[in-house]
Amino acid sequence: MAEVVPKALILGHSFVRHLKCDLEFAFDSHGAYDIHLHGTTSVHLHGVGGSTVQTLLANDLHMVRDLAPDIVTFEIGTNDLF
Amino acid sequence: MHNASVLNKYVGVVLNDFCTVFCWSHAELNSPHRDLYLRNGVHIYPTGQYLLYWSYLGSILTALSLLGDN
Repeated sequence: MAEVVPKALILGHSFVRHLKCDLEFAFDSHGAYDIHLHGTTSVHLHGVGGSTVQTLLANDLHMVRDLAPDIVTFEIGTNDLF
Repeated sequence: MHNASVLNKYVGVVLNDFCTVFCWSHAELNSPHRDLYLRNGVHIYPTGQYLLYWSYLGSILTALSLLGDN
């Protein structure tokens, strides 16, 4: 029986999007897509450039519903300051 | 920077009542001693990406410890 590991979702703006892209292209030899959690946690990143609190609420919360993560990290608010 | 600080404090106060929620600060990205931002002042250099990456690890590990407690 496969071990169930916690799921972590990092949800936010372009910082998350760029990091996801950079990890997919292995931008740094010390970086790993699982954020160095070595299979103990499943990590998912979803970022939208220019995202604000309002646009995230309107467009991206489905990620939380669909993935049902144990941990959600919101990287949001920066674009609300402009 | 001031507005961000005020908002961060506000969010921290609002979320303080929730035991499964915490605020996390990317301390290294906010350091005045590092120039981590591209010319547009919005996006970050690969060095900043690297620091952000490790900061996310820290926040996830902190969250995992809370999961363990609950």
